[in-house]
Amino acid sequence: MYRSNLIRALAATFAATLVAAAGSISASPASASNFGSTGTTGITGTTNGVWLTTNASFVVGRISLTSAYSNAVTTVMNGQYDPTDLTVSIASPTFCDSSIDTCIYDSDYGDNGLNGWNACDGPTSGSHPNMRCTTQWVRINQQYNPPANRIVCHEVAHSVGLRHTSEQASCVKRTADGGNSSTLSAHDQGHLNATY
Amino acid sequence: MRPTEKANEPRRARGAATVAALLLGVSISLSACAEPRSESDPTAGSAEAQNSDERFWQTFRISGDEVEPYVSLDSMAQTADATVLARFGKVGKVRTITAEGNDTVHYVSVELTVTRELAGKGGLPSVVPLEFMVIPGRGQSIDEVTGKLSASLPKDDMILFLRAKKGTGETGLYRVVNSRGLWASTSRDTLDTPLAEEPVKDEAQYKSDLAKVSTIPELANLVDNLR
Repeated sequence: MYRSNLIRALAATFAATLVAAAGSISASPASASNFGSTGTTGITGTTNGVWLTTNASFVVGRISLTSAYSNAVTTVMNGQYDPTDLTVSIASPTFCDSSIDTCIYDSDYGDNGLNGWNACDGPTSGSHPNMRCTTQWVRINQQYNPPANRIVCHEVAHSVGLRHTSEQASCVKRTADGGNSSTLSAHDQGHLNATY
Repeated sequence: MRPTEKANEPRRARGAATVAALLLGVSISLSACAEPRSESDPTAGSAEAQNSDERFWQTFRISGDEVEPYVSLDSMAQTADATVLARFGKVGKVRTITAEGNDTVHYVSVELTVTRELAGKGGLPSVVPLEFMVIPGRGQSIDEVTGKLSASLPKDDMILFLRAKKGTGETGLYRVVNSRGLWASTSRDTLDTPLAEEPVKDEAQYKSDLAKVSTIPELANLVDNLR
């Protein structure tokens, strides 16, 4: 009696474990590791890398952007990020300040090999992979005039915690790696919805 | 019966423990599959990095979108403006670009002392100004950054795939083609591309070449023959 009850209980536990694990696997996207802060502590302190924004209320600043990139911010933020659990608002101040989560600049920054990049201006809180940065600066390099919607989608992704991915449908796939999408993938959106 | 039942208790316990251990093993292995953290987690090892060359290299690891595609060593050697075995000399000039909205970007030039040119290209001077973009931390001056860079420059030979910069006011300056364009022996790996977030050993297009060599001088010889 004892043995048969024990075996039944263990079998049920085993089955439940398998079902739970299978559910977890099927819910897990193709590249589940492309989310989380990576900000590195170089000589300059914690500036480079991917960061999470502070909370779901996400204010993006267009800092003296040219019309092509300014329009792209509107299109991408309303079309890609606002439909997620982030609540997006767009400001157009002259200078970046602490009321803005991600400030976006465009300029000819020279031949540095980068279409655009993201950096944390601080302050930060928490620890990896959930380190949050209060004010981040996205730069778009007009030396190369990268496609507007794509580069805005890509760099803003780094300011809300999305890392580079191998997923072709995602704007967070590197140009250097063959990326050309201007939209977040369902997988990217899933990460944002799970976090914010 | 009783003694027998008693004798069976430890056996049952052992059986239950075995099954539980199996369940635990299956559970751990499945949960590892369910949420695979990156094999090359960019944050991995960052704690110990603070006392090593990692801190120097992390300064230049930018999370951004690179212009030039990642290609094999063969293609890099063919398309780069110059390929060299070289080492850092000293930190040179700082160039600052100021744009609208208190936007400032700094470039620090590091003098590269060329040990030898590779892959059949020539014509470089013996000292090449290589520019890196740096983003000072909040409240940090660029002079403070350059002072720290000078004090922590790696000293060993590296292999660099260089691009002559083409922007306004950049004549005579160089950059690496992309974050896979600088190869060095680092605390992260014996053969590393330390400007890249992810270690190079995970990249399929370099595996066959890396299987043939184990040191930077050996890699330099391999690259030298890619002509």
